[in-house]
Amino acid sequence: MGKMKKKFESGAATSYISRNQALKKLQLTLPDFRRLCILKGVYPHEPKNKKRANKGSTANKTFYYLKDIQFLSHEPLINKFRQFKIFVRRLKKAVAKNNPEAAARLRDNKPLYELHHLVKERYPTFVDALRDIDDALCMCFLFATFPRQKRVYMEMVELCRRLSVEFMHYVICSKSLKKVFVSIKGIYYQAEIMGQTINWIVPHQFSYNPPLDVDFRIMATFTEFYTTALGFVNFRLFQLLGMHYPPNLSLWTTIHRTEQGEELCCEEEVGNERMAALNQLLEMQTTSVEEEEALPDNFPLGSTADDTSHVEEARKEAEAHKKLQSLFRGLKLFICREVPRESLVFIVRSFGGEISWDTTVCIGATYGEDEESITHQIIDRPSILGKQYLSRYYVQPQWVYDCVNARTLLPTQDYLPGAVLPPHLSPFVDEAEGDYIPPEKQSLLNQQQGVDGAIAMSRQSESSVEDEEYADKEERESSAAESSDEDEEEGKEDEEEEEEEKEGAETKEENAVVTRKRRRNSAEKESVQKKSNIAVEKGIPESKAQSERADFFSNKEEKKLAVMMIPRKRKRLYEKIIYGQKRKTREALKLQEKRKAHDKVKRKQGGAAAAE
Amino acid sequence: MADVKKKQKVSKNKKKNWRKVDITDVEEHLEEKRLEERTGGPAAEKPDKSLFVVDTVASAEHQEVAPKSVKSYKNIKLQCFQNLEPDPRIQPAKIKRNVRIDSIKKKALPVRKQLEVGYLRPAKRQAEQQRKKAKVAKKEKMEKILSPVVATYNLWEEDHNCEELDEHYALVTKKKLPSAPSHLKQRPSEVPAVEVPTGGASYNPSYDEHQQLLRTATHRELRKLKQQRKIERATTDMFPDRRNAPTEQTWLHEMSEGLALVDEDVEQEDVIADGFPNAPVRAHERKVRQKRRREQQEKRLLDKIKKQKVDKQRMGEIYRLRSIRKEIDEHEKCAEERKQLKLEKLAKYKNKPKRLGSIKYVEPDLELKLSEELSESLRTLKPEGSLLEDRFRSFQKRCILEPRRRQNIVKKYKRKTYENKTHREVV
Repeated sequence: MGKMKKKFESGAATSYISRNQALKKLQLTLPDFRRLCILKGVYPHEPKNKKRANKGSTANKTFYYLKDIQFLSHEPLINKFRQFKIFVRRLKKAVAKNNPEAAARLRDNKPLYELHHLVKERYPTFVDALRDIDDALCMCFLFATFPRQKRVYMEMVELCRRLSVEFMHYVICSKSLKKVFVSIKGIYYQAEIMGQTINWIVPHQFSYNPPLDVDFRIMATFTEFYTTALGFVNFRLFQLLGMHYPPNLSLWTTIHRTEQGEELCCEEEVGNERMAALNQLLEMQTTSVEEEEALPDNFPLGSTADDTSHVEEARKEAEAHKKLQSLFRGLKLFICREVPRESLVFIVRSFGGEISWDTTVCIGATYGEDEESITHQIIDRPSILGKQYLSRYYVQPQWVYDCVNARTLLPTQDYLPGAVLPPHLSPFVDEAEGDYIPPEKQSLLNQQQGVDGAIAMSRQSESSVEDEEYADKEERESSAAESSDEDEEEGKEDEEEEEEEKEGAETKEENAVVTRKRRRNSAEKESVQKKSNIAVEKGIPESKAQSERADFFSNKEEKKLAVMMIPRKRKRLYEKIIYGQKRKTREALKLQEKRKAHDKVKRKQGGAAAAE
Repeated sequence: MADVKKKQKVSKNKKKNWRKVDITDVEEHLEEKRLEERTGGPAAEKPDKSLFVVDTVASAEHQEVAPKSVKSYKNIKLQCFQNLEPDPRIQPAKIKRNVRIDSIKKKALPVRKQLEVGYLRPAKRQAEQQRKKAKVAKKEKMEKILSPVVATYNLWEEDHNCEELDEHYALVTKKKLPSAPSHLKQRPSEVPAVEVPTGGASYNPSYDEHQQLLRTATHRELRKLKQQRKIERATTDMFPDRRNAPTEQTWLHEMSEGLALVDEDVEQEDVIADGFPNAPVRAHERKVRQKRRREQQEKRLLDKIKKQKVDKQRMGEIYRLRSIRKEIDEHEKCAEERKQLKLEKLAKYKNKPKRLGSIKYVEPDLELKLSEELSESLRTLKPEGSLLEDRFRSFQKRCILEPRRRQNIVKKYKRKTYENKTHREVV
């Protein structure tokens, strides 16, 4: 018989290490340890068997892998932390002893550390870094908005601002923006860079309120690492695009002389501001950059039908994306005050549009309000102040966001100043087959698939009356939103209903005013449109119905046969799937019915109000 | 003295060395003497007359004396102004020009001047150079700190510096870090970094989506309330409040519940269990050695029979190999199923936040706007929630950070109070 095994000498007990043990092993303080872990990307783990890892105790502890901690112990950064500790001690002593000379000398020799090697270590390839850039972008965009405060270094805030502006410039130049969603939390963006889908959120303007239970030190450490990573990613992205890094404005000197900005603040600040205005091209490193045509090759594939369909899908997607990239091409926009300038400029320029603003709003405006070639003016006030130009549309900012998500230029009738806007739908929701799609989204989808831009334009011109009806319906919907028959709503919702009903009469009056205004506006627009739309003919939809029908039947027959061929073993699973699908469609149908009833009620109410 | 040559020391008792003796001074002296003799003897011996002439006749120019004019009188300096005249005994100030630096006390000059002048000892010169270098380095460092450019090169470009080195050497000299454990490259959770909220969280949501969001939020809130209620029921509600608290009377009543009257006590005494816990051993029940032996024999026999039976059975099992295989298969199948179940369970909880410390992760409240709070336009929108907190919670949800509770700073020592004897509050 061999030697008796002792407890907790192998297995889980030795592969995990508690946080306190790790601290002791590395001879670090807890804040330093947390910082090191964040920088190195070492995270705690929950052991599969807590009791075994914790040597018999079931207390909830924070565990790390022993190998991780051993790996941490080799990090040269630890030494820097220790140096910094000594530095702080000496500085404190010098300050306490009222020795400013010594303090100044110590401050000059403050130990610094770099995180380059960590970025390389954590992201061995550039694509790895891109895959993890979501966090970095979120943190940088967030920190860039922070006001001056005790716990945040101003240098970090400035750095974050700079990096975020650089990244936005890249997205503009590469035209990789895909989706935007304005939520109550902030603005969500989606871009596709080198095949990686990147999401990030940008806070609304002036929305900073210090949260109570967030460890600021930890967030600052994250940001420290992410700024380094984003810096290198920016460098590489700029390099790939053939642009100069750090970015320079291409028209720097000429404008600098003409402007009077330098009187107000120093040259560097003006430069940063102008860069942040996002309204100018950047200097290219090489004069001629070959544009990479990323279109998939056109050769036919002799493989299975499934494969070809995939390729076809990809090609379609690529074409749609290409079309989207030049969504605002040829448009000249002008933005008024009280509009989220940065977000709009970023979006419009990413889709090829031109944009400017009043010179008193921000630095970097390229043309004024009196420019005749402006096609759209974005205004967020119920009425237009000052001179009104007939040559341009006046729209609310939501129009820009909705255009991007709809992937077409939407008719401007619904977005006139003071109008009740159609809902801003999230582009991040992908409905699966059989899911319930709200009618607003359905109409949008229809527009995207069947009706192209030209047809949309014709619709815009010819059927303004129809649109008005639609808009009216919308209004009614939103005004009577609360008076629905939702029995599972809470008590506060009920209170809302009562209030809404009281307000109902007032809103109706407002609506009447709005519709009148819109009628006037649409009349104006028609006059403009008549000139421009002389050559456009009404599009004729292709008649695919018959062939589709034949396809459908043949497919059905095939499907039947395939179902019959399923072995008994798998049959149950198949039935389960079918059952789930049916349930889903049932639910969707139910919701549709509900919506119909709801709309009916509202229409009735609206009609009654009109009769009054 | 320096130019006087030292006399060569030679022994003069040998004729050969006589030549080496330096006699130039003697010869020179003799030559001088001879010259004097040739020119009429030494000057010291000659009479004064032969040497000097007395000049008695004045020269023509010296004889003319300028007539005294009024002007000349005017030039005569008055005695009273003599003080203003420069003192002839005082030498004029000598302004030194073209002075060699050696004469100045160079050490007294500041170092920078010394460097300019070119006078510095090597050690000091080196120190000065180092100081200059340090200054430049510091300036560069400060520029680096102040300049916001992070990256100046492509980090992902191939560099072969490390690969050329010997593996062991690179590791020992810390030029290369040991490779990271493989699990470090895996994400701790598959939850995406940015979770986009549903359409109901739009600033201008559609009716359906907004209602959906409100509904989910209500459900969550109700569930939370229910849990809270449960905890309350199990803790606070278990104890009576002050009005219903037990008094002495109620306690007495409760304690005496079910007790019989005093009279009945007598009857209960009879009901005592008969017999002892361990009955005493009688003589005939004692175990004798013989008895023990027999018992053992019996036991052995029984064991043998049992073993035979088992062996027989085992031998017989050879005929039911098929069914055994079936059993094994079934067992394996069961194990496989259990394994599958376990994997499914793991997959199910894969993206759930894990227990990483003493505190459990709690899903934060949904951000939403009530119907009356919805804004008409983007201008009037009031943002909801804090993004910083959102990010923080996201890190916790993705198992990157462990959930923590904010620690309050506890003062280590209690403040001491003293009473001054001269100012006592209570006499």
